[in-house]
Amino acid sequence: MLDQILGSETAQKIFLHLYHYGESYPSAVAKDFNMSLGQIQRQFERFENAGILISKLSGKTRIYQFNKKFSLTAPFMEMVKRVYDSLPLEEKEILFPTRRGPRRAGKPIIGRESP
Amino acid sequence: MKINFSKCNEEQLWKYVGSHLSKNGIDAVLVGGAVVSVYTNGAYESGDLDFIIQNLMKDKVPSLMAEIGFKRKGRHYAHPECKHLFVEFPSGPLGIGEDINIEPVEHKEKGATFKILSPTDCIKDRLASYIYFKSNECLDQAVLVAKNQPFKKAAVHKWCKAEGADWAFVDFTRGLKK
Repeated sequence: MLDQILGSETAQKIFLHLYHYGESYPSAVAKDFNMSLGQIQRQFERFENAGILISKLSGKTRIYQFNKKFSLTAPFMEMVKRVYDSLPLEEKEILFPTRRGPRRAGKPIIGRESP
Repeated sequence: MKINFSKCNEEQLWKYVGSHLSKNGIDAVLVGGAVVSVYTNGAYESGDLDFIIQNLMKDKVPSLMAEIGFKRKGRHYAHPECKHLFVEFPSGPLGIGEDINIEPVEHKEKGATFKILSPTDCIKDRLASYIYFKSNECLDQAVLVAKNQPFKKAAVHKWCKAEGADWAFVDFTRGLKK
């Protein structure tokens, strides 16, 4: 799996999180995977320096996404996709419990944890 | 090669840094917004210069930049006398989206060699930012370069199609007609 290639389980979780949500930020990954924020932030910065990720500030939060302009990103994302697609639906529900898609203010969330 | 750091523009700093790196075996290509500055004679001011190192000698960059007075500050290099421009070395390889067959243009001046994206690849690079980062200013930059330099329109169209973004080429050609 990716953790073996990347040498880090944290790195694998970050990429799966980014693939699932399209974009993400360190505190979201830390919350969903119950990990330390500092450790996650360092990994995000490492992958941004490598060119695979890009980031932008939204308020006080630095939002990351795959850098699709970078020529190595598409083949790398293909690897992430294969790992992501191999996960059973039940495991995805556990790994990504929070809804982060667009949602009208005040619309109730039934049966899932609120964001 | 001499330079006035306090007043130099992107093109002058590119040639100065590029020739120093080239003389020391570093194969560096200017990419990004600074290429727009070069191809529009400064009509667009980038503020930073991005070089992609094509060979496996990136570890020599910090000492070579120090030789010409640049100090590393995080991911970029700054010169104490050059307050308006800084230099970065983003990760390679050279590529624009899915296209990895990029052939930089090589310039030679006073025995020095320096490389830069071609006008066609510069337009593709700017359109890539428009497509993937939704940056409208990059569409404007692509149009600006196209109006100032000869370029291969069919190659830009082909690249947009390959990226699954024919709509971007439509926006680009609309910009050219304005």
